[in-house]
Amino acid sequence: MRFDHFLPFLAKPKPGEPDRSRTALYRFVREYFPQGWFSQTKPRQVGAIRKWLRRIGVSWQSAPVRRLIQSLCFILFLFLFFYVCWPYRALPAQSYSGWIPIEVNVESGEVLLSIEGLVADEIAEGSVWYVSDESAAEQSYLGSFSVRSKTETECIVMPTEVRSAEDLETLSFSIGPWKLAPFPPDHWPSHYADTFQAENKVAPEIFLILDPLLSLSTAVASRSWVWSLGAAGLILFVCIFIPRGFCGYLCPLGTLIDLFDWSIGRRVKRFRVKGFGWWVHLKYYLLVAVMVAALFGVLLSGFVAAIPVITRGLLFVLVPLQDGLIRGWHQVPSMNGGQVLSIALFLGVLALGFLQPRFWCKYVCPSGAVFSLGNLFRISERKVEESCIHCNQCVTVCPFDAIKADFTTRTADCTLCQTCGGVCPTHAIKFVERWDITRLKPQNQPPTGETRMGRRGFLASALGGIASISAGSAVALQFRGSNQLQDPNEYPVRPPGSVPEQEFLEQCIRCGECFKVCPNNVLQAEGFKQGWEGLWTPEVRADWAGCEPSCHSCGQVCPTGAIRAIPLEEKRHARMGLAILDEETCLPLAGKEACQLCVDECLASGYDAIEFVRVHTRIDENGRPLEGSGFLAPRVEAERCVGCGLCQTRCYSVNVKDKGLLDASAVVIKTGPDREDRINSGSYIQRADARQKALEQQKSQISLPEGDYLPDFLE
Amino acid sequence: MRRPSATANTELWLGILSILFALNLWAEDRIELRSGIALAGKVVSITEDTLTVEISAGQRKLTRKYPLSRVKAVTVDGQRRSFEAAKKNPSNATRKEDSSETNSSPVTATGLIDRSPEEIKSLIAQQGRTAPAWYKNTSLDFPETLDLTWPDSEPPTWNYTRHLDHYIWDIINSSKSRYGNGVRLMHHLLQVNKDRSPTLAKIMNELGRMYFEFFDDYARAAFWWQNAKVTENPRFTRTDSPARLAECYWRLGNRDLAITALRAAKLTYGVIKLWGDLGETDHALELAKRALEQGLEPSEVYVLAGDAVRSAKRYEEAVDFYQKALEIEVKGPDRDQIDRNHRRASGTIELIELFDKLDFKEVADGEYADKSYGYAGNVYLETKVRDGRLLGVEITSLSDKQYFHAVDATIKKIIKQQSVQGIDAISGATVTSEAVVRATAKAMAQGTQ
Repeated sequence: MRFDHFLPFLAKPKPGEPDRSRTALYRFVREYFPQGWFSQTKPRQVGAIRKWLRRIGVSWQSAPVRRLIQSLCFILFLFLFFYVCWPYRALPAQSYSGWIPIEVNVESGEVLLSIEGLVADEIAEGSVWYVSDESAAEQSYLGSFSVRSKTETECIVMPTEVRSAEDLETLSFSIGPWKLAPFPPDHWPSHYADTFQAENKVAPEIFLILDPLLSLSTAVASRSWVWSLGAAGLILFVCIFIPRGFCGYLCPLGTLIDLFDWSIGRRVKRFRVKGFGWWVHLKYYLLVAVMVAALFGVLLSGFVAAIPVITRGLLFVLVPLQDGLIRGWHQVPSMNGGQVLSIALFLGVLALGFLQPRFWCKYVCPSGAVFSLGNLFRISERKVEESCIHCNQCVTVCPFDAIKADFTTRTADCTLCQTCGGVCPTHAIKFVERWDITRLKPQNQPPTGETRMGRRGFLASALGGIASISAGSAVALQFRGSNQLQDPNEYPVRPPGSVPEQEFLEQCIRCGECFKVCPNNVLQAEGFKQGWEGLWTPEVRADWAGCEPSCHSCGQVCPTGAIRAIPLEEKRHARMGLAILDEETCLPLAGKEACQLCVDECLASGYDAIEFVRVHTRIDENGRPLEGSGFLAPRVEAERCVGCGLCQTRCYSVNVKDKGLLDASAVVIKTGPDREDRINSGSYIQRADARQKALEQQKSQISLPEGDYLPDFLE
Repeated sequence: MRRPSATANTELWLGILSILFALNLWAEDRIELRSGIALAGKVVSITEDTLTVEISAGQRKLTRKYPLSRVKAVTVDGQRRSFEAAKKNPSNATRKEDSSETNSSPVTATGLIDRSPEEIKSLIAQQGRTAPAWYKNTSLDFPETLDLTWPDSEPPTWNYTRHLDHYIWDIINSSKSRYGNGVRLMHHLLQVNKDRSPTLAKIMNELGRMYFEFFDDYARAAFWWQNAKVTENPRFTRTDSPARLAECYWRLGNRDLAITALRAAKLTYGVIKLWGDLGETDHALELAKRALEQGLEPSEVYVLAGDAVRSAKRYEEAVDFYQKALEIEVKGPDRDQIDRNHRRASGTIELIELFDKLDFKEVADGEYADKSYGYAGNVYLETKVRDGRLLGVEITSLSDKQYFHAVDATIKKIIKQQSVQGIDAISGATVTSEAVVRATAKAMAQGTQ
């Protein structure tokens, strides 16, 4: 059984040499595609495909399938990250008001509507609209209508469903104006969720869930089942057939490092290191340290695992550019020290490419180490046949240093990229099942100079192991100790649907996907507020922006479930915190001036959790309130507030930043045990209902008998 | 608040009355539907199966077509013609007729529904005696420290947990979610104070106000005001309650009844307002003049006069009245009220200049820059006008972070409509898009001067 795909048949075979690669794929391709594409034996001629690939480069020529897959994966990664996770294509559903029902036919329900100005293009023939009467005090809903026909200023609509005769008659009593809305009146806005859902064909976090170190360390740290373990298991299973294939084919960081080497790395020779040094097993020590720290409940994988390093790097380096160029530079939040550190780490990983191509992947990447260990269970392998002529081309071309001096394979490092197979002039390299021993070339010829692990080697690895275990524990304890935040009311505000804080820190891998999907950058990377333990975790920055009511994307992209993937209906009720008013500074409460920014904002958001009370009312000599005196001031209704932070955003941007009236927002979202819903499972709606019920019970105790509407003397 | 002195000028009254009746005599036909609701309008045609009615709503003529099976009778030029025999759909119609007896949701579209005085009387009695649908789910929720006897004079220390006036003012009136609680509390007070008749009248008057202001529930408002005897009790005759009671009659479907009641009312702010709302602009102005002579607070009167002429689209006059309101100095016991009227006056002047009067066609060629406050700061923009057309709007500076899509969409709409009137705010970005509309209007208004 052969696993070849390096397409050696594209190469021109030596005269007289039998064409060995007679796989089914080979026969199929040669049968059904134009002969001119392929190299011919008689007469000897290089095919079009091979000519073209040669122009791109040797690795493309040698293993085009691998390069193609790698490129597609990288493009997919960038597409998911920069396009699918870019939330701003979502537009809210638009309503159109001011329609006058000029003519109503009570028999059929047909209505001729007229508007001052022009009929919007969106009101197209056949489109369905939910109509309410705006003249009524409480907007009354008139049902759904579809547009029969339209002119520039008029349109004719028909009820979409059968209406009772009374309903039709009621229509005729209305003189308008009517409002045409794309949804029924009780519809909760969902444009962000809908747009995200519509474009979310491939899970945007796919590369994160495929990185097995993430799910393994998260599962150990939080001592719980992490759903992405399934994906990790799947990729490890696939890698039984394609050992370390993730690194060679899928990993976007690997591809980026390849690109770095191609564009910059190979031109700067001064930092190159030769051969092997103390660093060769660094990745295993890092893996041990990460897993030991995970045992202590501290998640280090976000610092060193491949995918979070690249997602966070792009997030902090390129996303501000994307935001600034497309939406304006005032939309780019400032950076904190933690973000600078993350950028440094990312650039550091790229800079390792100055030492050797793919130095990071070969020696440092602990995610790669997981696959290297997985290689122990490989069933396929690179083998060299006796036709090898010791030309050394394969050693030169191998990007992973996975070929020994005797041209056999370092099986833990080989990513089965098959580039060597493509460059081999004698087609001596094959990719077959591990147990294939036919026609193999003898080992240690020429001598590799490598010996089996001796006493010194053993000691060295034992020392390294001990060092990494102690380093892992020390870092874990250091991280834990650096979290000086004691007061639970001062904890950072977490995204809606976050699990309890301790589990959150144990499960959040700091990949930054949630920042990327978050409209208006409500979620930003935490700095050192909780020491190292909370570094790069998502925090709601309500001074910057508030959580969009129609969006639940953060939970949808979280690869580990630190933010639960809850439906929008649930998210609406998941409390992130509670808005707390500062009675000393709030402008109307302090008696300074009228201000109702937070109330307006809360009403527009749909939560309607901030109400008015009148304060500083002045009275006449009889104790009666004076007309027009006092201010309307906000009061937060705790049972309806979910802590979205929109109120704080508005107060901060107007009263603090623009007008300079305050030093800090007078309404601030605060966390605390009875202010947020931090649960591992269960429904937020049910919790909200239970709270509501408890509240009503409390109220009903002071409630007096019913039926007191009409007093006896009026009976 | 100063009260008007009652000096009725009989001659003037008679003069106005005759004008009113002349105005009011535009021939109205009456269309009675089987559902029990009657309309005022003009019968255009009656065919074999359809009745077509034309109705005046403000400046517009609306057409309504009813199948004859749903029409009980029409009265044209005082002659009533019944359609009892012409039932097309007997089974259907009778069933509906039964249910119509319990139909308790009156449609109060002003000027459309027509009810006879008797119908209004029975509607008020029937609805006023039954609790509204939301009533039983509304909890009775008030501070235990509240003094439920509601004495007329309360100590001049502000305490909304003790004094009812203060509680209603600060808590109930301020927040929509408390409206129901307020009504419920008033009904509770009726029980608590059932032996104190002056207090009862005060409570019922307040109930009328709450049903009227909070819920637009005109039948119940009228019921409680009638029971409080607001047209007779000297306590209430100089308040707005009598005028508002008259408005209830109008809203429920009888303009004549409203006018009769309004004529009997003493001159208050509410009286001027309702005459204006009824479309009797000149009479409203006449009364405003008298109100000033009688010493009502002038800034309030000028604003009401301005509102009346504005709704008649007499914008220049309206601006004059609002200017007069602005000239009243903010001082004395009414200073809060004057201050509030100043804000209303200047706000409305701006609205008139920017929206009512502004016509792009009259804007001179050129570029005009202006600003308006948006979500997080001023939106600055520049408009470009050629040949009476708005060619483009360029945002020169914007600090609003959210909703960046709103800006382009709003500008597109304004350019397409060539007007700032009737531009729907972009959902989810109301503040920003309104700022763009306003700043555009301000910029364009520069070009009309």
